[in-house]
Amino acid sequence: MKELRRMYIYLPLTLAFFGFAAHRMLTQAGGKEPIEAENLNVKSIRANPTSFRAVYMPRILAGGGK
Amino acid sequence: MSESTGAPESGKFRYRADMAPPEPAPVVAKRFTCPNCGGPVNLELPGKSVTVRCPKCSSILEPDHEVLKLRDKYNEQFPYRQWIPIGTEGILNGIKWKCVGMVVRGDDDGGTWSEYLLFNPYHGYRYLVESSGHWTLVEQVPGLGFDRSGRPGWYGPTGTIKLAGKKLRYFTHYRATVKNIIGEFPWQASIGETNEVTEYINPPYQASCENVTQYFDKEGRPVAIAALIAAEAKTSLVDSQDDDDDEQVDDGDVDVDAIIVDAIISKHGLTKRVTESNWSIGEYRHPEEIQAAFKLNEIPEKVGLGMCEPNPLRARYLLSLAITGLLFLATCGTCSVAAGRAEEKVVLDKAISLSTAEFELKKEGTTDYLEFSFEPGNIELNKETNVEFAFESTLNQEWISLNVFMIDEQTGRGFIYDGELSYYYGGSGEDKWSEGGNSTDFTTEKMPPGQYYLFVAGATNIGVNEFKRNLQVYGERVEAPPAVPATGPLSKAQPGKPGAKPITPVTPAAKPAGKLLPLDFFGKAKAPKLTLQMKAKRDVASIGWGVAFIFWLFGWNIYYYIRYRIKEGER
Repeated sequence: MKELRRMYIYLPLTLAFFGFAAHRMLTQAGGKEPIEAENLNVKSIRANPTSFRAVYMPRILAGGGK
Repeated sequence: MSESTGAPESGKFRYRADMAPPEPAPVVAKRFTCPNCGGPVNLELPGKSVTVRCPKCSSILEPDHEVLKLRDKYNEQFPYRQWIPIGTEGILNGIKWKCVGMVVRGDDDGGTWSEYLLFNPYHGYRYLVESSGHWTLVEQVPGLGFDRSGRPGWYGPTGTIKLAGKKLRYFTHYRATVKNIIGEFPWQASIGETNEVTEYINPPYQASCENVTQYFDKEGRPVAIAALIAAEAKTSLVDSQDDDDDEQVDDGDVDVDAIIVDAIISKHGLTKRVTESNWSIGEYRHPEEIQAAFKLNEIPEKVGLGMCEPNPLRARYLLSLAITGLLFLATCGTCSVAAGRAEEKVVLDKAISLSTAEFELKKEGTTDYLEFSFEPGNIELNKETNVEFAFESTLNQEWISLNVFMIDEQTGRGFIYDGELSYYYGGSGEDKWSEGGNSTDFTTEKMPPGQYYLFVAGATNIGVNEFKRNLQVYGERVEAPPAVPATGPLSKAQPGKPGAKPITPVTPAAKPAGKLLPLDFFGKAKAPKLTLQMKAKRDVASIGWGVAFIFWLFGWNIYYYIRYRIKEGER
C-alpha cells in the first residue's frame, strides 16, 4: 500500500487512460473527423461530376478540408 | 573467534538464536594495568578475550593469568571515530548486546569500514559492520559454504551460492586489511592482517567468505611471506640505490607488492594454499534502528545504497511490472472483444484506372497539378458504425490527394474525408532515402446508418508534364462545364449531429482556373494512367487507443526499471 501511494502519478493516470482506451475500443469512438455538407444532390453530381468537383472543391478547401 | 549458533533452519535464512548452547553466567570485568604506559585497562570478558588494546597508548596486549603481556608496543591515539563507544549496550531483536571491540578494515582501493564486535553471554559474538553509514549485523557461521567433499561451496569468484534455500549472487571480491583495532577480541588480532573476501548478496542478506592463505615451500613447510617480502624489498632498495643513486623511479600504476610477491614465489618455488575459510552471514539494519538500539546521539550519514540494503525502488518497479502485466492482459482482452464484435465487412473493392488526359490542369502558386474525380459506387451501412477506407497505388516521385464524399442518398448529407498518398526517393548507397508510401488508409467516425453514394475528387502530379505538353501541341481548349447549383453550407461536424457550426461558403471562381483538353486528340491513348485500388470496410475494430495504452504502460515500466537500475548502481 505504501508503494502504491508513492505511485500517485502513474497509477491514476494509467487507470484513467485504460478506461479511456477501453471505452474508445468498445464503442468505436474516435476516427477521422469529416467536413460536413448539407443538401447535396446526388443526381446532379452524377449528371455532372466534373462541374461538382470544380465548384465545390475550392469551397471544401476553404472550409478546412483538403 | 566466533560462536556458532547451530545449523541453518530449514527453509529460513536466519539461524535460530535459541539453539545456541547456553553460556555460563555473565563474566565480570577485570581491571589491569598496561605494561607499556601504566594506564588502566578494563578487560570486559576475562577468560574469553585473547587480545586487548590499551585505550591510552594503543599497545596490543594479551591477558596471561592475572596480568597483561605486551605483544605489540604502540604510543598513539586511536585515530578513527567510534560511533558506538566500547562498553555501550544496546538491544537488537530483543537481545542485549555489548560493544567490546572495534576493527577498522580497508581494501586496496582505499575504502575503509568499521566492524563493531558485539557480545552477549548467551548468544556469543556478532559483528555490526558500518560502511558509508550503512549497518549490517553479521554472524559467523563456521562450516557454512563447504559441501560434502570439503571444498568451498561457492562457484568460483562469480556466480551464486545457495544458503538455506536463498540464492545469493556474487557481489564483489577484494583483499581486506586490518587498519586498526580497539577494545578486546577473542582471537589474536593484529594490525595489517589481510584476508581475501568474497561477498554475496540477496538484500537484505549477505554472505561473505574470508579466506586466509598461507605460502608453503617445496618441502611443504609454511613460509612467512611478509618476512620474505620485507627482506626482498630491503635488498631491492639497496641494489637500486647502488645502481643509480640519482635516478628517480616513477612506479605509476604498477603494483610493486604483486611484482615482489610473484618474484619471491618463483624464486623460492612457493605454493599458495587457502588454509582457512570463514563464512559469515549478515542482514542489513537501518541506521535509525541502530541509533535507537544503542541510544546514539549521532550516526554517520548514509551514502549511496548499502551493499545489502534493499533497493527502495525495487518494490515500485515490481509493482509497476505487475500492474503492467494485468493491464496488458486486460487491454488484450478488450481488443479481442472489440475485434470480435466488429463486422469487418468489405463493402467496396474497386480497381480504378483513369487517363490523365481527361483531368483538369490547375495551378497553386508555382505548382501545376491535375484534378480528377470518379464515382466508385455505393455502400450501405446497416447500423451506426465506422468505415475504413484504404487506397493503394504505384507511385514514382508522385503524389495523390483524395477527398472522399460519402453522401447519404436519402437526406443529401455529405461527409467529406481526405487522404493522401505520396512516394519520393533519392540518393544512392548510404545516402539513399525514401519518403511516404504507396498506400494510405483511414477510419471514419461512426456514421449514421443509410445508403451512401461515394464520390472521390482528387489532385495529383501524375502525368502533369505530359498534360502540359499536349496542351501546348493541341492548344485547342474548351471552357470548363458550368457550375452546379449551390448546396447547403459546408461545416466541420460530427456525423449524426445536425446543426453543426457552418463554414462560410466561398464564392466559386467566376472563371475556372483550368481548361480542359479537347476530348479527342492524337496520342490521347498514350497519356499516363492513374491507377488506384480502393477498398472500404464497414464496422471495423478500432484498437489504436489500445496500442497507445500498451506503449504508455511499457513506457512507465521502463521508467521504473531505469530508476531501479540507477539506484542499484549506487551499491
